Amino acid sequence: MSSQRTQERIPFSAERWAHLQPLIDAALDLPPEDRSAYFDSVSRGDVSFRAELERLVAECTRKHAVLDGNAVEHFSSLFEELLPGLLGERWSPRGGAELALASIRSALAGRYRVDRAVGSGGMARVYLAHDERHDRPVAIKVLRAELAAALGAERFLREIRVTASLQHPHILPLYDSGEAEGLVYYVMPLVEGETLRARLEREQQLPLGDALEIATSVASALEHAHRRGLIHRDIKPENILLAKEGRDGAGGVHAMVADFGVAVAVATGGSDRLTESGIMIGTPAYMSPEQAKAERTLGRESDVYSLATVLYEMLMGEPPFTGPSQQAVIVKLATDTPSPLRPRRSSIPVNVEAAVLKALQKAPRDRFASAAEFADALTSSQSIDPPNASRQPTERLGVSWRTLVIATTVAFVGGIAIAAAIMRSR
Amino acid sequence: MEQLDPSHVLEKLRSDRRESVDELLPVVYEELRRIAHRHLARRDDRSTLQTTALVHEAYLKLVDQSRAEWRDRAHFLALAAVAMRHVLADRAKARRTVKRGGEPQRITLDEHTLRVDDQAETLLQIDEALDRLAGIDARLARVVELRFFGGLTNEEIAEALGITARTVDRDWVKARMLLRELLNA
Repeated sequence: MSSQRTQERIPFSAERWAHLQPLIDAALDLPPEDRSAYFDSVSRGDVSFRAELERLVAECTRKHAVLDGNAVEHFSSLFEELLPGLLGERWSPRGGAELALASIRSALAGRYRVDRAVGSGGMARVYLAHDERHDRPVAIKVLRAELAAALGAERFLREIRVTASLQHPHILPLYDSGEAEGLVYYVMPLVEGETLRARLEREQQLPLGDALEIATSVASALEHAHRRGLIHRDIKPENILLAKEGRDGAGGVHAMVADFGVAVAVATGGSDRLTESGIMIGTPAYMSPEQAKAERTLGRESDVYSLATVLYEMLMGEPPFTGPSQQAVIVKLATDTPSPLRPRRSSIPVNVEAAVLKALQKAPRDRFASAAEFADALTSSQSIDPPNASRQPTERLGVSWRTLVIATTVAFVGGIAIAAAIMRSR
Repeated sequence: MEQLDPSHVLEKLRSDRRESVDELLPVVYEELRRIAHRHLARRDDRSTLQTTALVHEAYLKLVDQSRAEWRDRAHFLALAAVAMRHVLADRAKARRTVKRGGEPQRITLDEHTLRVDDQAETLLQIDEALDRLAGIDARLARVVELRFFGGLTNEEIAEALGITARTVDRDWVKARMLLRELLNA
């Protein structure tokens, strides 16, 4: 391998790392509020070096979607391929995944033609299927057996069915739900697109216009649900689907809130047994302070708070409070004030910053009274800007050069989304 | 594979010779495969496998507890982590060969869903990035290997590497950052 090629492929040489590592260590030893002055002093006016150092230190505190988990769990399908044939016919190359597919196929036979598994998460496996009765493509989520057992199938289905009453362009509808041969499942339309999490993983920071459009869409979905007395309780990037609009995908994004009722079912039922089973629900990064304190009755302000953390991440590249552990995040959630947005991204309008910070107040009564009020505060500032401001390249200034490179080279993302695939625009 | 005499495993674990690792690796590897397979046969195919459970079971199986010391255990777990990484990477390579003649695809690491189809590619990207990390800072790469592939706790990693748990914690955040850079490069 030529050294030139090595340079291109490896952002760090051992020498460079030997130089950077002590600086990063020293910064990590400091409380976050003292780091800025430290970066100033060690960079001695070298702006780009300072920026990189600051970015790398910030990256140190960011969890990694895969690496923070465990290998066998993430790569279960590889593990299941080990030693095929030893158990005979049952062990096809796909092993356990194939068995799971076979059981869901037989459980739903006649009603849904289950095609294949598209993903598996902490709570459910997701399958692509065809709804035979209505002749339409659907996504079916099958609850993990441990979770179904801990929650109780009836209770779960009761909670999730409440969401069937929600009809809103920004809420992913529930087509069907039920229990068959011990499997608890629910059915949604197939949406072509990705989760907001996938997009954030790729771009880190979104253009202002897109971020505001997604936030106001989610706010209108929440307002609709809140007026009917329903709280989502788990607003986070994983639960926001971005459907492609228009056939060529050029029509911008259409955000939809998924999994209404799921978090409620988890919160109201079997939380003790869940703890025993070791299933962790929710991430404190998007929880309101009152939710982190495990208050049982949460108001609409809690959802609006979570939405504000998501908007904060879309704008700033990370949620307001991060830390090496969940406990660390919860402590910050209770005590720290979120850093203001504009010093780090000056293109953010004053009113947007003010609205976000108000929605992130510790005390529910200090926040907006409703999701609609939050959306109004965001959109009234939107109109101050030229309507096309978000499409200007300058809006991407906050995005690092590296992210831009990824965004252009990584065209492949596709339908990783949990409820991924085609909701055809007619 | 015939049963390895537990005292033999211990003896090899205790010797610092590089060859002893090479000799033990296939034994641990084989045991992990056996245990994984038994787990798969027993479980109700919807529950998840735990790295830690598998690795610890291999330890219980292969090492005579009554004669082992805490340090032996840490060394064994470290060895098992390496074996675990090889097991998974081997499978992923096999699948990649079957799948296509090889243009590597970019995989998005979505927090909740690692698409079944993407697992081989993702694993190989991590495996390759980890090799490159080892070229930059060998200890950081070891920490990742032990933690991610072996399911070792910080304390166990500290014992295996002869550093403090606090250093392990710090190494981990730096290693994770560097890996993210390497994966995204």
